[in-house]
Amino acid sequence: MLGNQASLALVIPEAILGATVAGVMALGVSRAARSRGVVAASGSLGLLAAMAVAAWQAAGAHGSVAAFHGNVVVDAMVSLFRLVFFGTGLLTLWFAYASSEIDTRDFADMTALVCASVMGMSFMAAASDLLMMVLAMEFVGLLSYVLAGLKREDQRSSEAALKYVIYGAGASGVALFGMSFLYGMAGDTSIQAVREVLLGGAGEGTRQGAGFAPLGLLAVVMVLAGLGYKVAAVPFHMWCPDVYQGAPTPITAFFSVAPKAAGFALMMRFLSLLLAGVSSRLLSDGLMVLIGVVSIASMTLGNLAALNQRSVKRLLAYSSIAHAGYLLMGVATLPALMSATPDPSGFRAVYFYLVVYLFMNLGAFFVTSHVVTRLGSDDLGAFRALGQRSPLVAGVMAVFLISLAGLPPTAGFVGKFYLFWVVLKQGGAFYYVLAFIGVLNSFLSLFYYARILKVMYLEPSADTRPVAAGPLAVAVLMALGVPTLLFGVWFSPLLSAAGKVLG
Amino acid sequence: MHVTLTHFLVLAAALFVLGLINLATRRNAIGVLLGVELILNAANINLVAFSRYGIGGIEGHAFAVMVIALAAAETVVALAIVLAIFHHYRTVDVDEVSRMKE
Repeated sequence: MLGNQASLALVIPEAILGATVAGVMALGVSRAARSRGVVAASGSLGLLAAMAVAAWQAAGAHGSVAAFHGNVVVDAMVSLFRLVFFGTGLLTLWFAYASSEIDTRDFADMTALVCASVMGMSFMAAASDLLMMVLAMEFVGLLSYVLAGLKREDQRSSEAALKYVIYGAGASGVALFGMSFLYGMAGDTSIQAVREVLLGGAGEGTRQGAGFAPLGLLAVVMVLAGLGYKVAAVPFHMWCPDVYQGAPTPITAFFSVAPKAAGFALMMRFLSLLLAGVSSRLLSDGLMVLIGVVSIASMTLGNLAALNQRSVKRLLAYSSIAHAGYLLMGVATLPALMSATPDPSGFRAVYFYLVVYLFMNLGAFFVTSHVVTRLGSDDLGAFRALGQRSPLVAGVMAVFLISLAGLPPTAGFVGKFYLFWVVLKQGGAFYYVLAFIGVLNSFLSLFYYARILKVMYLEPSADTRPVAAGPLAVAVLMALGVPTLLFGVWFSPLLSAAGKVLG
Repeated sequence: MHVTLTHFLVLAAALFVLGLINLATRRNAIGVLLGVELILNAANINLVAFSRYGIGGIEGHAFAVMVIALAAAETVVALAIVLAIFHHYRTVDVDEVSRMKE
């Protein structure tokens, strides 16, 4: 376990982001903020530098290191998620730069908020202490509320912020209350210490691991409720469609990927630190059924509600709820992790799907943002005849939608296939039912993704003028679209690389 | 009467439930935020009580101090948002602040 000074070298990527935030905020009050280019360039520079250092550190790192007196863990998973978060932040910045929805006046603030919140997210992925979990979660939460309400003069943006803050504050309060019991069980805020109590190894006198299982289950369920809100899983999803619809589109793109990935990272970090090797039937069966039921509810409700949405942002919001459901299937393989020989393959499938999800979901939102900027609306009608008006944008959107639906030859198919395969591999009726409902839901989702395709290619539009796409838009579309296709046909090296990194 | 850990835990649980009820039933945005405050303080009572009566050391107190600071920060952000809402809607009733959906 490293002390404070020795740990500093491990958080250089976060330190770079901290400096970037300070720099961008200084720019924001100076004359330079009148130019979006200067702000976007400095923000991008900071994020790229942080990504480069994170990748460089990941290449030279071995195993996991407990840093800052055991408050955070730095391992391969943190390195992976750092790249996911920072990359999402970078793309969000470029979306915002290309979008007309973010005023130049607000651009520096937005850049600083995005950089700060991806910094908080990387601490979420690394937290190995209850206090650190709470602080990182709230840090990201508070910044997200402000980001949702960035357009003060816009009614819907303010409404999104209100919905976000009310649900978010309530959910994190519940999680905190659960954590207070975990602290009480162990007398220590380290998750490892709580695990030892559950194992029955530590504690004096009459303390028994099994005796703590019911209280432990209750506390873990409360913490999961708080995280369920972050990933927008049913029944904590009510804020999601309103926030996604009301927030400026580039910010919605950010929300749909980064906080969701951070919520899953924290959830899996927490569960694997707390429950690895804990052989309690109550805990393993209880959590398996609970997470499984939440997963089924999320995908079914998300997909059903998406079927008749007119607003594409709202439709993608429900689609992201359904995706939280698919991802939770992987988390429901928790009992494999709690066995005597812990098997994290279910969690690994979730990591893999999150990376794939980043590309396809950000892509779909970027096209939506492009349409909103050029045509002024995110209504399905605005997408009419996009296939003729802007063949490139429509073509790439088709790739993203096919990938979201989980059809070959795209990355979404590979990710989903891997996820279903891992769930089926667990054996047992419960997992078969889970996977079966997952497959049924994938078919259901085809309907609304295909509806967008139909509108883009088959419905005529009164306005047939071409929709221009600038060089930046084309570059971003390629950066997202090419991997989505490439991962779909050239997946085996990627899968083995993922296995090696997280092995 | 001797005050024990159980008394504090029951108090905290009662506060937590009241907070949840407040969250679910209040329509005034400020009222909802008060419910959040109740939940956070229920957690604080738990933390300090475990620290004082249980096997915990000073960590519980430190945790509670952090949570107090956190609650303050959250209130600042939330009230700023409520202010913006009032500016647009001339009300802070969360049911009336709902112009999307369609």
